[in-house]
Amino acid sequence: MNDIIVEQEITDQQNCVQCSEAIAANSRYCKYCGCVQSADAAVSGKKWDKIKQVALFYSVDIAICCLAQFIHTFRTLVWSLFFDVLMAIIAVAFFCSNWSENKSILVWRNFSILKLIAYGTIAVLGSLIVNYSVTWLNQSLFSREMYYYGLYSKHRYGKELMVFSIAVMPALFEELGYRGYLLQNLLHIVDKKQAMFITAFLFAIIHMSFISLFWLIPFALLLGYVRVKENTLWYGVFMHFCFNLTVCVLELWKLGVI
Amino acid sequence: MEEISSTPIQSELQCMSCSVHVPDTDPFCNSCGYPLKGTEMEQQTFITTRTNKAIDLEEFNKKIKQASFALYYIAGSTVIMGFIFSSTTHDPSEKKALLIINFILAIIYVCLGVWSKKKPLAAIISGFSLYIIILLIKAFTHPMSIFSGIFIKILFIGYFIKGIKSALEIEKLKKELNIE
Repeated sequence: MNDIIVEQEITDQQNCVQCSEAIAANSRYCKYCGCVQSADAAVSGKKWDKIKQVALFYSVDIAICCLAQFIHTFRTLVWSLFFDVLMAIIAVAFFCSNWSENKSILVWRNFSILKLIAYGTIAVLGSLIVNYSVTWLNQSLFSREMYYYGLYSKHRYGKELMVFSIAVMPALFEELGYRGYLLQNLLHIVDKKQAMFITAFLFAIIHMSFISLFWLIPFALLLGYVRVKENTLWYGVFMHFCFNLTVCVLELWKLGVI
Repeated sequence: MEEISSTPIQSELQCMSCSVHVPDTDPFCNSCGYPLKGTEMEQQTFITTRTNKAIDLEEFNKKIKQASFALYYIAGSTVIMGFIFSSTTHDPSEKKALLIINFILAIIYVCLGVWSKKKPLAAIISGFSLYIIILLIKAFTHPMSIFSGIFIKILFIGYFIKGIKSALEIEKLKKELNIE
């Protein structure tokens, strides 16, 4: 949408969408046939369909998150891994449902190692700041501490499993689902800023932790911004991985496991 | 249609519908699509359609306002609920946590409500999703809470869905009617 407008300003002439006559670039209507010249005049029905698809994806995700979080039976290592895989399958399925349109963001154009390192560093620093402030908040406000490792500690490969299910899986499949499928669809419905905000907000609230909202929204906005700016998913995947890996390493280090 | 004599090279007309000056050779107004050279019947139809669209716009605006109202109402009731819940629990740290969480939630709802004046679609979608998640969390932790105030919940969900639909339509209509 925005790109089209910019293009028109540069060329100062456009062709009517209906009769193809040359008309002034800023005309809202064709002066020869009276047809309206906005790109999305006929697509509000399609937009509603897209919103419904997005809502379906999000509802399925919410349902799984609620089951995993609130049903006591599912709070075991095996179930937690099962839900991770299920979420991954859903993200891939939805992403592939519109493969022809979505595949472009899987391409890594203009790969730059410097950018990758820069984004990675930002993620690690952000993670460190968040980790210390959240620990402080949890201690001072709610006088409790949260550890993820409890779930994995009994297993022989607990550390490896923890890194796999906290750092690897979410980095790949949350990015694919949210910055991939969801953001891509929303970009067809609203402008870039709104799409980025909606994705970030939905991504943040599905974690169902209120203290986390404060850092999840900015972090998700950053991921969305990087994804839109670079037009590829992979910088986001790397940032998300760095961020979550830092959380894991810090926790294992605090607990004296490594 | 009155002639404007101030431009000597090309004579201009004033569009009957949107009052913009256009060259008198054009068959249609390039600002609103009014058939300048059309028959009286066509011109009448155009004006009527445009008026109808303006009425639709009013209607959509009303629905968006209802959705914003729902957001404010939910914010208010979240604060009240926070006070009620925290006064019924005895554990002091849980009391504090409940108050803080409900207060944060209320602030988020109010912010979204205010923002829905500028960007209705993004604000209503976000508010709606948050509302649904909170309802689900409550339903999983206290299953009977689904039925408390169920009519008002359904009403609000209806407001939100209509609000989202209206926000979609309104963007299209505003472009057609030349309003920013």
